[in-house]
Amino acid sequence: MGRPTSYSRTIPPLTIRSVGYLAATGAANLVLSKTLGFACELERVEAVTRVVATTAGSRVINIRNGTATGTIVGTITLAIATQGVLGVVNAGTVTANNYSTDSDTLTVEFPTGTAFTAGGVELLLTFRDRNQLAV
Amino acid sequence: MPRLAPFGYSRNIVSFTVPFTGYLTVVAANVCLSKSVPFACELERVEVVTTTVGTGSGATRAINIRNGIATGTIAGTVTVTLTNQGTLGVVTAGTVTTAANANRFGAGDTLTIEFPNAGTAFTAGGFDLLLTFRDKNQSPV
Repeated sequence: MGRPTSYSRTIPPLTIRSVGYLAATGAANLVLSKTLGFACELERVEAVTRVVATTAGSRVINIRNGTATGTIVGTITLAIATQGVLGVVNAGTVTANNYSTDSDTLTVEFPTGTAFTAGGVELLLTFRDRNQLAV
Repeated sequence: MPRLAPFGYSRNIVSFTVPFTGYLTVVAANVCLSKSVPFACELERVEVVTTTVGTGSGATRAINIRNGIATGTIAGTVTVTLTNQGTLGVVTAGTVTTAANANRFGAGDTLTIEFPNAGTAFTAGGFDLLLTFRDKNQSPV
């Protein structure tokens, strides 16, 4: 049951393609320094397989507060075990520094890793926020 | 920062995947046509995140966020160009029209995301369109 001072949630899905991300080995940004515009906390990180990966790879995704070198607030690892079946939900982890103010920015970053030969993912980030005034 | 307030806004970020095919050549097309918005809310932010690098000489395409059908009031707009679509992950901010409360949706209004038949074609590209809405606690319709 809701409370006046409890949280609401938003889950923006972000598309991760093979080209440039899953079938690549280099560092890349999925989102670079997106202004949030409201205070919130990252609550959950999940990846849902949309296109099956065909060769064993491993790509880590870091959710950062700030730029591509900002504090890591969440992370998830994509492996063939989870990327080999459509619809599988792969859960990541959220760190203790998961609070963002309205002036903070969000970056979703791939460090270097081992490439898949195909694949595709929807990255689901769940943010929780309390009622607040407009900026 | 925004002060926490029991009767303030909560936010919802909605993502629409926009592929190259059907949208980034010069053609009139809708990403979303007259989606019912069954709660009162305001469009607060319009952004594009590049997911496929754009190519094409002088390419540029505008996107209109409309309240209503494909000819409804423009509540926001963003323009993708060869320049801002050149790097994966880059966030391109659009504008929201607050004059005359154009960004305010009533519980019976609809949302349309429209590419007008204008601009210069890309030869490749793709992005996620992120729309941030704010709403206040309200009863079910």
